[in-house]
Amino acid sequence: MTTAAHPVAKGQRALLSFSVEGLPPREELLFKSLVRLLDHRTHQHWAWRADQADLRVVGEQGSAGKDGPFHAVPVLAVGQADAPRGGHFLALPLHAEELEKTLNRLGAMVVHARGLGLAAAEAEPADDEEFRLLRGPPVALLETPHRIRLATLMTGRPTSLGVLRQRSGLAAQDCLAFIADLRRSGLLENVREAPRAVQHAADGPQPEATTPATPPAHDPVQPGLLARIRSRLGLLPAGHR
Amino acid sequence: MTVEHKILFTGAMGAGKTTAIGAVSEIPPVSTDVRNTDTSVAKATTTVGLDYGELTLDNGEKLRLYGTPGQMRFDFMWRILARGALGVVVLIDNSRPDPLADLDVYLDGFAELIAQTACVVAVGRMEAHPQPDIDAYARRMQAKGVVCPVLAANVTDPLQVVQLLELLLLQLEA
Repeated sequence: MTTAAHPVAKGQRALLSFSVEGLPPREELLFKSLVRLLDHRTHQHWAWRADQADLRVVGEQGSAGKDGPFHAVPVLAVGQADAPRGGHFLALPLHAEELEKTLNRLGAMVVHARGLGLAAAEAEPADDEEFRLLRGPPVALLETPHRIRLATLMTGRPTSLGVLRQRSGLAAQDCLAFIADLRRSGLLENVREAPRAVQHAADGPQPEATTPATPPAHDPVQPGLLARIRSRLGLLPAGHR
Repeated sequence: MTVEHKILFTGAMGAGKTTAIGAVSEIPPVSTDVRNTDTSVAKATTTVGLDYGELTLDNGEKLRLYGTPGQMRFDFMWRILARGALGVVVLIDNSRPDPLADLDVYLDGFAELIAQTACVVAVGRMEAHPQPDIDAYARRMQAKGVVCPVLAANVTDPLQVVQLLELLLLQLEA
């Protein structure tokens, strides 16, 4: 619960994700709705994603002990109160206050683990690996003008880390951090695998890529026009006018 | 012949199109306002034709800023204005009864222009009317297959209008 001692600094909240498995559809819908409703109170911003989330929410039809890439992810078991399991548990029917407390407790744990570098390592995208932004990011991810700019550069057509870095003029680390946050919240979709020269050499001739070349997002703009408009709006530094 | 470029501002009646254009135009905005007879909106006058402002670029070319008439019955003018535009700024008034439905109207009305060029959605009056929030707008746009910047904005502040235009220009870069 938000108190004076634990204020929720909305713009600085960590963005975490949760997946749901093994819950009846009605309970799953209710769980997701409650998380959204509690968003103004939880210490972290929680967003649903299909898999590889920061937290696995597992119902009685799911398997909490699933191995594989999820092994480092905390599990929140959800079920009938008379059949509690070990670890983190939330009883049905769901109560908003209990859910809020649980999310805050697990959220703090995940954030702490991230700080210690214990969270599952995320592979950095290759410089030319293309991805597509699926929708405008939540406000929690856009706390600086740089991030609004990055999100804008990602609209309209697929982009890559290299292109993003070049177009934004921002440090690679800033771009990577933003991409990682978008990935965690399930807002990025990979367009195709980046070509891997070494692998291609080993595998011999490759079939032609099935993904068509990225079409231009818009009609070409007269060269120099954007710079002239920016200059007129006072958006260019004096040396560039 | 003077080369002309244009950017559109659209949105419901009272969303701030005239104000936004006036905030950056180098000439006083030309408006075709008439006395407002729609008692549901607290405005003395409203734009039935269009608003117009302009900026002269350093090579003499003009950037024309058009505010479209807000009411749907003028949507035939939206298509005319959209021809050749660089992009559109959609202004939403969050104090209206169903601002997400307003968003739908303008995303649909300018769908072709948005698909071909650039779009920014600016939501006003969020301080007093925080719901729907920005994320709700982003989700609504996703449902319509539109991915473009959506942010809270106060178009009485010229700097914020310039920021909206900058976000539009960013999308137009090759």
